[in-house]
Amino acid sequence: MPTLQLTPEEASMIGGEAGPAAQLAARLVVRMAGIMGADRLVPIAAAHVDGCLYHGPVSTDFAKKLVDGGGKVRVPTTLNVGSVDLLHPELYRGDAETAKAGRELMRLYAALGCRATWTCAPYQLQQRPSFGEHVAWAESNAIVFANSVLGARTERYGDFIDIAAGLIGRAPYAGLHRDEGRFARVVFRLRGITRALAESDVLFAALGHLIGRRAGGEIAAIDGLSDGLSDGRAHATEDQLKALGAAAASSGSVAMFHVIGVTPEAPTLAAACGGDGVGTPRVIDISVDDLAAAARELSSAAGDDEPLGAISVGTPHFSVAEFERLVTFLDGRRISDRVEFFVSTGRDVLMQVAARGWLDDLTRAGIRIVTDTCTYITPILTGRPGAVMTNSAKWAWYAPNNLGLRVIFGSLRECVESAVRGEVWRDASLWSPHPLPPLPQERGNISLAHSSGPNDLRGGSAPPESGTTPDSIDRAARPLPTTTARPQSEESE
Amino acid sequence: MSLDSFERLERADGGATDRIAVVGVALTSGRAAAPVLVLDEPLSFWGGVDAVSGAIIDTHHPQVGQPVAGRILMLHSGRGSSSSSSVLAETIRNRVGPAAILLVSSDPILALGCLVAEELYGVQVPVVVLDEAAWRTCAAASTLTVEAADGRATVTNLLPPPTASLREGEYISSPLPDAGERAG
Repeated sequence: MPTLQLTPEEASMIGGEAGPAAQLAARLVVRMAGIMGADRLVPIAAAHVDGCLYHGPVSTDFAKKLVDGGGKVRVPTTLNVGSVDLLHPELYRGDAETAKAGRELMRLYAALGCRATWTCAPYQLQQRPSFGEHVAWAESNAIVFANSVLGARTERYGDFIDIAAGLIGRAPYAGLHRDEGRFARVVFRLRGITRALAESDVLFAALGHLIGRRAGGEIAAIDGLSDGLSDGRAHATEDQLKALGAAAASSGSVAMFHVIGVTPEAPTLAAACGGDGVGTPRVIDISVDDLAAAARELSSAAGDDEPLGAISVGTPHFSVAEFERLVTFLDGRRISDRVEFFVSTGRDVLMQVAARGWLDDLTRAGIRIVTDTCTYITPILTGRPGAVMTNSAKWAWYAPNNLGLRVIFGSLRECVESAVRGEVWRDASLWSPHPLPPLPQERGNISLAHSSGPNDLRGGSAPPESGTTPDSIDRAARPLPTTTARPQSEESE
Repeated sequence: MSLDSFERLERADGGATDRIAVVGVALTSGRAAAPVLVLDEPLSFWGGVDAVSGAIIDTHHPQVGQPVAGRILMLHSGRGSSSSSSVLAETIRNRVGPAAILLVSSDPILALGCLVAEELYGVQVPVVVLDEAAWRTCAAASTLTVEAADGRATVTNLLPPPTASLREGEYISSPLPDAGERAG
């Protein structure tokens, strides 16, 4: 193990000169640095903390020790979801004692100087890490998004070490913080991807699920996404990449992926794999059948004819662009009285949704919005009989065990149509083996990636290094083929 | 557990086995002497272990139902959520945590759970990384003694050191398991 070199400032924190909380935090970060094989610590620009979710008395004991020890974060630190929805407390259906403890824990983390963001999608906030910045992020889906899509650098941090890093503004310089720790070790080569799939949410969720299963914790490169696209150029929305990463970080422990021609450190397959002279990664061919099988695996219900009790989307938290799709798919209709429909999101996104006037539409449609927490970690669903439908591979992976219910996995459009009908509806075009002809209005929309419209919130971030292809990622979703017509099964997502 | 019960356990296992003494990397420090629970697959403490009872509750895990409480827990690697640090620390706080953890792949998440439990409650649970062959040797034992300090650990199947060298609370273990309850 290399010897860890500390700067005088870091050594003084270990010595207790910055107070007992910083001392405890520094001790934990240094111990972890040793375990991770780091030879030094690296200054971080920001932290994202998952420890604010209540797991038991240890959660509180630890936070309280930091607060009592005078702890204040040294870098901007955002907070992941807590155990209760502070804006809609009436939605909570668990026991009062856990809610009280969960609420107290959230208060303690805010007292440490963290921002009360309460979201698992901190990359949707106005301020987010820039390309190449070192951060200490917790929450598996946020970690994989920061590394893969933003090109920021974070290891897999979690409870305790996340706030410790924020309190001292340092992280162990190891693993994904280093250039050589970010190269792909396994390549997933997609074959025969249709346009309908490439533009869906289910492809990315199913692909992520499959990658997590097959890659375990290795960094994966994904090639062949452009196959079915009319312009032959790979691109993806941030929501699609969010779905991919969240799925891969649930079924596996993937902390980074590259989509060739899309994500910022993968202009080419060679670049993603570390260029010439680096060991050849293993290649796994993925067919549409493999992806369909992965999508089926995400459904734990007996079949689509099972009664539907609820729909839950927004794991990870729903973005503004996803709300726009939801409103479009609903098209003024109300969901069936037989089902309930929850959308989990962050309070910052909720404010933007309200500002756009969509909140009333959604309320009228019978949709309930959950903030600050998530429907798979805290009791919110009312327990209607029947399966729960979701477009989230992460929700589909965790909910059956956490909540003891059966899941039907489908696209957002399938979720909405099913909610309106009160029974599962399937989009026949999605898994069709043949590419669909491009729709005329689609062509203009693709170039949205290059515009800086109101949805482009990246204004202040540093430009990516040359050789990267940030324009291939749309921060907002591409507009739908039609914005007013009721969805027809012949159309693609 | 007392030394008496440890000795009885050795005899209940059918007498002396081959002597085992291996050296590994200690991610956390501590000492333990306890029966062994070998896991056939990686385990996520979050969602996989009940923090109150210390039993494995992951229904997909081959060792579901087995208690990690007071065991030398042997698994190749951890798995899944980083919230496993919290759940592991909860089990230690509730006195139903493993007595020690023996891994093949280093796992910062499990080590962190033990570090925090030590900081908060002063209970040491050694987490040790062994090479594959050493791990397999240890997995064949029914009880093991672990001594881990300053990054280095020794694991043996010898009896723990004489009582005189022990301080109150240095050994963490569950009561003797019934014969039928023993893990393979």
